[in-house]
Amino acid sequence: MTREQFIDMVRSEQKGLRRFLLTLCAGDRMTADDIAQESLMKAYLALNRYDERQKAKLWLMKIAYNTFLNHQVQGSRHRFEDMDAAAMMSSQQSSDESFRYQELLQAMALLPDSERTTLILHYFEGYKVEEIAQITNCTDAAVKKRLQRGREELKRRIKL
Amino acid sequence: MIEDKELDALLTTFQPAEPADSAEFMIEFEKRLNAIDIALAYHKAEVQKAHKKAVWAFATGAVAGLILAIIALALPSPVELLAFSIHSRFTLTLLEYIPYVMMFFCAASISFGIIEFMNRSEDMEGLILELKQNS
Repeated sequence: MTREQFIDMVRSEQKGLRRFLLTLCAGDRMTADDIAQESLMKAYLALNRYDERQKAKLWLMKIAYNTFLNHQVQGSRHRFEDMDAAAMMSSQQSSDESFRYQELLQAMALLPDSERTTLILHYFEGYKVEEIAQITNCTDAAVKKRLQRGREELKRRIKL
Repeated sequence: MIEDKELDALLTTFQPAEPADSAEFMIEFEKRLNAIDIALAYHKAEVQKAHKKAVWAFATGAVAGLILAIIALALPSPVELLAFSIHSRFTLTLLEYIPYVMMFFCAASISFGIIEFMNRSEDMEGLILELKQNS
């Protein structure tokens, strides 16, 4: 893949990538974009390892997810403690809906990273189980288990 | 606790907010990409320079060693010098040990070439790692 092709790929995929990171970073736009930039630079430096048969979108998402995890390890965990930030996460305008989504996001924030990421990718970004398995580097069965555990935990925590 | 249906409705109807200005993001991205390209070009040039230096050091050592070996072989042996009535102990000792001295210089030059090459390679690996961490 040439430099120009890489730029074109980034141009077409950056929105989804940033939206995913923005949700993972609890609405912290600056951190989300920083991680996105860092991920793209890592991808550029690893272009020689990119397999053309692989979906570019999944490859970028996988790098972004790993970069996000590195940030988490470095100690900057993101939580939906700030209600304004949580409110920013939803594009719905109604205050009633906003309240429901805030509760959802806050409940999600208490989930382990692996379950939270799996739920975000599946429900908010529309990825299939096998695609999530590729991104998060685990088996299909593990993804299904995380989805199930995440849902159970959300059901327990959300009181509408 | 909520029901499965309610949770499904919540999860499927939630639309995450769209990220901010894409144009600005792309400008920043291309800026960083250019910086990486400059660093990579610099790194490539440094590696080439280091290779050239190492090759030159090695070649110099080998040529110098060869010349010194030829000179050493062409030198008259101490016995021959005695035949010419040279009795200076210093000259005799020097001539006796000169092949070892030459071998030492030859080996030192070649070692310098190899060490220089290895040091440069390590420096470059460090630079690449740093570049990747900072990118």
